Amino acid sequence: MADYINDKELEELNEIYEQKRQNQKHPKKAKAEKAQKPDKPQKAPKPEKAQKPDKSNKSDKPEPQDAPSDKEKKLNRAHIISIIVSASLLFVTAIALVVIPRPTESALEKRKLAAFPEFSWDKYWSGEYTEEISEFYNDTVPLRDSFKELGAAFRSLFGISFGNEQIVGSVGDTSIGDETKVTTASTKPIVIVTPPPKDDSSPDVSSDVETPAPSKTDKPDKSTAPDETTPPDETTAPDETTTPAETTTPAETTAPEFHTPSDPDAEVLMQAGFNIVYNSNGVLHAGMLYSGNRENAQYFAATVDGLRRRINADLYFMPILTQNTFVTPSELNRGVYTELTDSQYLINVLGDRAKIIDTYKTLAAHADEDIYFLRDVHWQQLGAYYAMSDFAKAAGVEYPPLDSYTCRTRDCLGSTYTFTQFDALAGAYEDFTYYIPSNEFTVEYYDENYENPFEYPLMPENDYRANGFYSLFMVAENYIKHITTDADTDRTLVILADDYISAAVPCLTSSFKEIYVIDVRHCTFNAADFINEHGATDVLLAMTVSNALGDVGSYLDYLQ
Amino acid sequence: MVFADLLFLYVFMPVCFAFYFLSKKTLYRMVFLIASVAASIGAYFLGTSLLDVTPERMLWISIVLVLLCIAFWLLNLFFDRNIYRNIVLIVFSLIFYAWGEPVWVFLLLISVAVNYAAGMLIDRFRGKKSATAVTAVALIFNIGVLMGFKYVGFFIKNINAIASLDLPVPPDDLMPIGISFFTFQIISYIIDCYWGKIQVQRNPFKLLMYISLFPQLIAGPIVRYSTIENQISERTSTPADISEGIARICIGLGKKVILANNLSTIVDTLFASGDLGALSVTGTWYGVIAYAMQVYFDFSGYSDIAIGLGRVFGFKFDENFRHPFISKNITEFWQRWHISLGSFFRDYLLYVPIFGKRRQYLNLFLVWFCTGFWHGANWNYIIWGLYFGFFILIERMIGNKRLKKIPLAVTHIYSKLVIIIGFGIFYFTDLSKLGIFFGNLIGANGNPLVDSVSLMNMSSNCLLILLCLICCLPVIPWLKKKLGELSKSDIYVYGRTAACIAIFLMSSILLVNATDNPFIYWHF
Repeated sequence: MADYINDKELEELNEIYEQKRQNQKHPKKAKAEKAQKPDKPQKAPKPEKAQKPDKSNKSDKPEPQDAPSDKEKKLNRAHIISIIVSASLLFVTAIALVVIPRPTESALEKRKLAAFPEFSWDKYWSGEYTEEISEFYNDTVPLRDSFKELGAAFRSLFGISFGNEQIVGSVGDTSIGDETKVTTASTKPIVIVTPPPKDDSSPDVSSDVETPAPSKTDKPDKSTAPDETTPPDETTAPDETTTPAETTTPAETTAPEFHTPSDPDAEVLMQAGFNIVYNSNGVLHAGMLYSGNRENAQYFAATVDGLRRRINADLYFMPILTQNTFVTPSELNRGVYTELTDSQYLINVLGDRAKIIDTYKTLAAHADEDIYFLRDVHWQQLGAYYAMSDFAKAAGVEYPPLDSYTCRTRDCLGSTYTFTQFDALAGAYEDFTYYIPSNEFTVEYYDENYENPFEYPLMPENDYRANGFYSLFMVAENYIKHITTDADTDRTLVILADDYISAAVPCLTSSFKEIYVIDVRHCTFNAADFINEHGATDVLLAMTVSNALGDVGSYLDYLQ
Repeated sequence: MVFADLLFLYVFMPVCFAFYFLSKKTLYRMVFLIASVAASIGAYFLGTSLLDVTPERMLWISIVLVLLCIAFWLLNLFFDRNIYRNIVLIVFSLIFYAWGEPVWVFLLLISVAVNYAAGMLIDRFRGKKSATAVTAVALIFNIGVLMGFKYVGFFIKNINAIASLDLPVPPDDLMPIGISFFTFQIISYIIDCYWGKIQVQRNPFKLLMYISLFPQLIAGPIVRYSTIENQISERTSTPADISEGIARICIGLGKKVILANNLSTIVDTLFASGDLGALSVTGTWYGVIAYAMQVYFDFSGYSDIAIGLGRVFGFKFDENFRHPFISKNITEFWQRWHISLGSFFRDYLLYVPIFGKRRQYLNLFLVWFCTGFWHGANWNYIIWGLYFGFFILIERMIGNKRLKKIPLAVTHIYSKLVIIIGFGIFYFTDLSKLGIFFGNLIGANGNPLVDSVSLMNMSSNCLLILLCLICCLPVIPWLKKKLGELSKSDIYVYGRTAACIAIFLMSSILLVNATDNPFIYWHF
């Protein structure tokens, strides 16, 4: 091998050998040196940064190499601690979510929570089974109500807050810009005199042409307000075939001194979709803005007509007016039309397809009473009682006076809190007054297929919960109820409705021998056949205008 | 299954991590096995007592769990670490995909099998015409599957409209989740194989793992095979990787749950639940700005979670977003927005001379048509793609040098206007509403300048909007720059961990009862 190595190469080899030997003696130092000068050992980089620690630490060890290593160690340790902390938190929470018992119902939302699904291969292959497991897991988190409140509190930070009150805007700001949709829409006088339309376009034209939006300066003074106070029955269709509503609406009711609610200083505190929380006249209000779509009126009317043709009973339709008409300041209205204008529109479109129970006039006469909740979307039973008096008159049945009921008042927490999770609503209880009928009756509850009946009180007071107060009226909307009364009549009433009607049913126990209450959203059978099979003499179709002109109205079609 | 879901965060992810990082040390393995079996038995009692599952069914579930634990334990015992980890990832990826739509797992497997065979054939016939033929067949198969599931309904609807026919239209929900993403990954694999840029994957399970890897399976980013080719066979996760991966997951989750979800409430209030025609000029602009940010935080949040999960598992995915809203022009915007899609079209469509010498403009048109169409089978997406293509073409014609001479304020205003209006086109799938939207922007519908609902909404969300605007900016890089050496220190890691845990917990709280929480790009 020596033949192939000259002196210079040998010298280099020796140098390498020597270096290796040194490395074995001081491996740390060698490693550091290697890192410092890998290519050009004669031009070692100036360890400027590394020299600084030398001044403070006069150790023999080469500090330039130790300092970064120490830093790296610290950094690595920090990463490991970070992983341990994060992983511990994740695993502890994961185990806690499995071990801690899961709630089955929510006191806050007043509903039963999702249940663990039953397995079937069909459900599995469609993805429904796994979806329901996810739903169960997410819906039944332990302490869910507390977490939801915490989430709501966090969301409330998104707006500007002064003290305990969240100031997020003033409705008075609507004066900025053009006065068109928001403020003028609700101040439209209700002067609709068109007969039932013959085509799709005519109702719009008529209402738009004949109900011109007054300018702000034209807005009538509250003391006079001639247009706004025009009783709606003057506006109903003067059809040749006089509708029962016109004949039965109590003429003796005095013209209401009622004006479209208005409060330019109303202060919106929170809005999520159509849910709204606001201050009006220093009182905290909450509710749901009107959201009906009058384009659905023709469809709804056709559906009602279809139902009428299939049943052997008198059909009544009651568009239920909510707090949107009587409480919510008109300045907050979101759409072009209001609940009141749309209810009149719907009545016109329906024409004689059903006997109309227009409760506007009656309710307006009592608008200064507590007929609606301040912070719940429903009406008080008092409002329902007044509204049902119109129906009783139209149907020609007995209707007991208010003082025949046992009246009780309790605290309640409005459902708007559930929908908005707005903090200020959490403790904002209000009075809930209900009326227990004095006559005798029994109530059977059925499931959505009209099966599995059981008896239970009409108004189970023992189950009362302040944050689920509306369940006092016939437990839950998904049950079909059959009430058998001691009323001295042979008439049978079937009610097809949404949940507003629940408060009104106790007012009818002296009026009909049998009453069936069906929430159209929770019915799986043919309602028309049901009506005929059960010998109904009267059918009351009652729902809010929003629902009639929205999805709920379409359920009727399905039920036929 | 989606990332922003408690079941994913607190069941799927921890279990997957536990199996993935199962130590090779015998003692740990024994402890893990015993713990797993104990947990499975415990699940029986929990299921029967708390979940009201029948004892018979729960017994079967527990037996399956025990067998699963033993299977993983044996795999860990006998296989090399990377092989074991790949098996874990494949199993969990298939469970992840099957959770949403079990049937489509078979489509995914068939697709992988076909493309595995195609890759092998391309390699075998390399340099011959047969390789080109195989590539063409594979591309036709992949694009055919995508077209079949995603676009057939669109074409039939248009044919029905044009020819006044009444051909049956397949339902919209027939599309497998994430088909656009995994199809594009497969296409990139096949083309790169054909071009010889990558070595063909001879192990079908590794190819399956690449395609089905759950972090990027259903909503991207579109990870090229070449990016993770080496990591599929051999990868390591250092503590820094895992720690930073976890931080990235938390940030992504926060973007989705805290920002995007709440922005969607604003958008829904203004655009979906109200009367669009009555919305004011200010409200329309406010809504579309909120929507632009919602899409950004939604999609970039998903990408962050995907990149973070990949990092935890030892993969280094490319970035998919680089603060797109700071772009000075539209060309730059698309270099920062959905980078994996942009680079896919650039590499596989723009630079391929389909139209010969005139490719510059025609290819550009094709690329932006495809970009729009890829997002959805609807005309508004096509308009959206061509809209951006138009501005990019204009910018090309002006040239980079001239563009740079334009004052920054002008370029920023121009780019933001184009981007934001673009998101309006993206939102309104109904073209009549899109027309109303355009009218609203300039008050052409007789709509007022402001309306109370928009003002209320702005006020009640002003801090959220401010936070979102700040988060659109490169805050973290700026912060790191300001902190200098401190950003590489342990103190920074501790601070980041604390912040990320806070974000994770708050996101979890906001997810309680939030069952309908899909990402916007989920169905693309």
